[in-house]
Amino acid sequence: MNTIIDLKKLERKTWSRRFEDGLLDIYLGLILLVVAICGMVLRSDIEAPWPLVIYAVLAFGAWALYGIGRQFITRPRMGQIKPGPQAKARRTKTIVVNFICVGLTVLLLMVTIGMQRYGFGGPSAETIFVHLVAPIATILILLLSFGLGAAFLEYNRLYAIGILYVIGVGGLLLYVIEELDAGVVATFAAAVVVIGMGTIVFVRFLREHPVPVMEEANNER
Amino acid sequence: MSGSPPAESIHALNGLNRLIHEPARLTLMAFLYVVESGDYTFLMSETEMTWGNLSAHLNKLQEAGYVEIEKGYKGKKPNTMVRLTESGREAFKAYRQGLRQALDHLPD
Repeated sequence: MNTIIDLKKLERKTWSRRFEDGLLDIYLGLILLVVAICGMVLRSDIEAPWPLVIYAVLAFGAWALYGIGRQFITRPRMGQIKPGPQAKARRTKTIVVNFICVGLTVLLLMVTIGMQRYGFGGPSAETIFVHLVAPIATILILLLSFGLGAAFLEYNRLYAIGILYVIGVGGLLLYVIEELDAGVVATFAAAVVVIGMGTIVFVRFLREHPVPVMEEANNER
Repeated sequence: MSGSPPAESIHALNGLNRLIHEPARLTLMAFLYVVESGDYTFLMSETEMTWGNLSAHLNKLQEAGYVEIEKGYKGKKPNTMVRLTESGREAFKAYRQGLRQALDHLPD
């Protein structure tokens, strides 16, 4: 009769089930892959706005894949909940923090690349900004975003994904700004690792969560 | 040789809500307490009950007024959401309080 129920633990367990399918990990890996591809496009002869268009199309594709996976694979196995107030507060905080951080990162990346192409008041100022300030700022924003996201969401794999993103985006910056070809290899490698991690989690999820047998809800009581 | 549990403990144990005290229903109430609502698939996957078993327990809780079962549709597929009512939440809180008191009075 010693059924002491730890409701906090139960609430956290219910919350963290959303990461159990590994689909978010795969999605984040695909985004990093898309970023790597767009980095290569940026260094090619393809002119604006096509790099951005390519990014948007591929990123949308990754997001659509994530949505389809959640709808047709995860939901039939895990069902659906409307979260309680603690979960809602957690989610809101995380969305706000990550929206700001991701937005700042993208903005910084675009400004950096734009300034490298078109110049910026004075060669030394440009050099310091492009080669030092912007890359460091980008890395710090990424660390902050993933760190806070992992803490607020209680999603421990996000810490590892954050480190891989730092490696990947750092590599991409070296590739685009310093024209170091090995940089993009690091980006692709980081993306593959994140996708690989997500796939392992996904396969384990499929094995541990078969689709439950539901009888038709014909009972009228 | 600590003997039998004190009278307060026995009284508290006897006073426990037997509808909630059944392990399967207790698990259901606990999961529903920490979310706003959940569907049958969620409850089945978390409690590892079969559909029939789950249905039977939810019906008992519904008869007692502790849960509300909303049958709806998502597109063409039936979608049934279950939530605790206010009286269900209060009953669960009272049950936890009662159980805590009963166990606190038990000797080591």
